[in-house]
Amino acid sequence: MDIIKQVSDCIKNMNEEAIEKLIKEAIDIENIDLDEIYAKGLRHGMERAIAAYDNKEYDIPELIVCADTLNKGVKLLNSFGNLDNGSKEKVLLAVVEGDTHEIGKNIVKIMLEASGYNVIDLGVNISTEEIIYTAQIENASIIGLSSMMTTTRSQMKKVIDTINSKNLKKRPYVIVGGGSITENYSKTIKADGYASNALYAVKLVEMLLKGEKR
Amino acid sequence: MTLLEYINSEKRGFFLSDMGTNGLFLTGYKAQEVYNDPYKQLELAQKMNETFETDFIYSLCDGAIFCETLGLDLLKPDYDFPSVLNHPITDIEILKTYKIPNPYESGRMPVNLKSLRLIADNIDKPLFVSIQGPFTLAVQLAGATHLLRNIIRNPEYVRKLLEFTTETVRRYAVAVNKSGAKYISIAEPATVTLGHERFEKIIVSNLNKIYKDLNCWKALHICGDTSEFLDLMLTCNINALSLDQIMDYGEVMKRIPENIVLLGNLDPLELLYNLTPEKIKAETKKLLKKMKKYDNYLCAFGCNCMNDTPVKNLQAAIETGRMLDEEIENYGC
Repeated sequence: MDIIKQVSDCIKNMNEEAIEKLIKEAIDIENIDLDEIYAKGLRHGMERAIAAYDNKEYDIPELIVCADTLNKGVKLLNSFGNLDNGSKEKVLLAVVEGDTHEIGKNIVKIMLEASGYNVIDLGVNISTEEIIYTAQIENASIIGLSSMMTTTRSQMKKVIDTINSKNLKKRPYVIVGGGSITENYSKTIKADGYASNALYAVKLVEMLLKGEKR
Repeated sequence: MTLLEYINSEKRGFFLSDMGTNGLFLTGYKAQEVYNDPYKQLELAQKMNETFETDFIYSLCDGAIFCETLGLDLLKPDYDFPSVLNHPITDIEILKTYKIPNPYESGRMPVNLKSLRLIADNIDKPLFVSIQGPFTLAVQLAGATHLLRNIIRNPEYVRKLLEFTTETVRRYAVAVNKSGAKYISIAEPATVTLGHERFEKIIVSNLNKIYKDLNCWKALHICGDTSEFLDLMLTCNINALSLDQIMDYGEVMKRIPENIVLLGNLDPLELLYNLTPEKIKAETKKLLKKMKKYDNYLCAFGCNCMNDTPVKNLQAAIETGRMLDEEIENYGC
């Protein structure tokens, strides 16, 4: 079977043990370009995994293990040389200060990475200052904020207001989601978008970066 | 008396108004002050009972009691639930170093039991207590992503961890029951990350191990879209089921046996938090009208309410939910 197809299958089938051997074989024996292995093998496999999740063939545990396999493969590819992995743009993710609920943010991260975005995951309980500082240093195009609790969702407004007050040359878009967030609330705080689930979060990022949503 | 008999014991609607940490603003106490003082718990329960005339009584919900007792680091906001900052139980060897808490000795558990006893003895209404379920506790102990990954990678670790959490919850729930709780609801929100097959394999039997030892009204609450495993939830040994506001109760009710109470599902955010009392009354009446033909429906919130939801909004929903049957009958919509 085509080695690139095997790499793709390896991701889709969660075969974390085989991914390194296959990638080495693709590079050393088949002499295939790193970017091709990434795009047609690793990323293609992850796209299939997401499609399987979308049509309920897979649940979240499968998606996580597929992403683990993908990350192992990407790490190995990077050790062979600079990977122009077609990474689209940087997306910074954080759960706002006062909140520690992370599962939603983690699933969004998996989906975004699988779609080729360079994700900077700050984690949970992150201050406005740290979010904005890191977004500037990393030149992030999008900031994705999550909040499960209503007592902490006002932190999202603080991030947006602070960014707006800074008159930045390149202002990152700020998108929001989480258990305590609704579309109405996102409009109230003037967020650039709201995602009710991880799949839509990826679509929202794509639309914003293509200028299709404002 | 069964829960079903209780909610049909008068010719009016009954209302379960478990709402979260809203009572703190009524007393001015911070969450930790209340958690650590049974008399403040009683005072808060009395204040809630006066402010929101309803058919059950509650203590301040304590979702982090297990994690606190097991020594996890917690973030402790003044006016909201505590939440977990670290997830230390990442493998079987670490799990072996933890001991299942004794509800009568460990950490703050005995204080909680005293609080419940005080409330049960001083307010003449069925005491409702919500307790975190074993899978949701396991998510907190191991971290969500780590636990979900290991359902595939290391099922033995997950099995052992769930054994530990099930026994932890079971012992505490039995003690809560003995302390005067008339109605115990197990909250398992993290299970929505699982599909039908896994829910059947690793959730149902663990929940039933807890329910079988409880001598009170027993309920299961899961947030999110539960339509995929509603049938499995009904195989649990429960008297009542509580679902999220996103569920269409007109459709859900068709799948609920007559002897199981379905409670819910007023929307805490879009309805109770965002709208006026008049609109809340109208929406509540619409739901009641839709459910009126079912004796096994109990009006309640779909999930915890925002802690700063206006009191008048909550009162509007509760007053409407407790209207006389004939008032609902005559409501034209």
